[in-house]
Amino acid sequence: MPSLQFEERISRRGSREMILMFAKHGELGASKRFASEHAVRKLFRSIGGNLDDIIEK
Amino acid sequence: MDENVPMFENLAGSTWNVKRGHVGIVDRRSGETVAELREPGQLELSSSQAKLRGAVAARARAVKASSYSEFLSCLDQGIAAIEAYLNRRASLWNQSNQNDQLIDSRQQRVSFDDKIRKWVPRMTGSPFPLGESFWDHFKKLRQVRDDDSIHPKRESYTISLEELACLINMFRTGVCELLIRLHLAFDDVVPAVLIRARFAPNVVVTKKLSQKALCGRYDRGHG
Repeated sequence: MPSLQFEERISRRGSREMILMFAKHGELGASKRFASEHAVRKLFRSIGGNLDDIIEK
Repeated sequence: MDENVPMFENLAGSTWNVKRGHVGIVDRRSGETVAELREPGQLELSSSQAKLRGAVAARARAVKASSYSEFLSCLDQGIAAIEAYLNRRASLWNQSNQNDQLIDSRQQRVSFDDKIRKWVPRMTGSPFPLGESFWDHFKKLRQVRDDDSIHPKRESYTISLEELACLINMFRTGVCELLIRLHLAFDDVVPAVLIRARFAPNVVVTKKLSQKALCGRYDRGHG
């Protein structure tokens, strides 16, 4: 019987947009908000990570 | 409270379930108690977020049960979330603009479209972008809600799963994207529930695998 289902993953573009939306405009539980994708990438690098690694491929 | 603990509401969320004690919401400008609770119950700091959470839960039920009526419930609450947000912003505007009041009353009705087209630019000082697809999607979803939920015109109807999946996916842009754009226009923090709802995965029509077929997949190591 056919039914509806959420796909398991969102697109790579969607993941990227979502992360940036959280970082630039969302609630981070802190007062600091990030002005650009560059600033978000810098934050990820500063904690030894890479933004691209957590974006769905 | 957030005067002392910045962005406190982000840690606690907008809905409080109160078991005991006395909690209240106080208008910081006037000192007036807007709402209070002295017995077990629920306190909601943001009507818009509460409606949106209800919409998201209804969307999940609509997908799980492939249910159009659950989707209509999702739409009712999603559009109500936008209206609640607009009314909240207008209320804040009216508090600080005594000589330029935005009034929507029984005597002086203001349509939703006029609030978007006229009120929002007046409050933000910038035109609101209505030429983008989210506005067309919103109008389509509102029509669905009006025709099948608010003023049901059809005694019976059919809707295919493909159509239902399409409408559910359109909720992300027609309701969530519009609400996000409004938050950005007012330079408000965008609530997490709204971002997650906007970037939810696609809903697709799938042919459910039988138990036997599922077991076969696991047996072959493709689970």
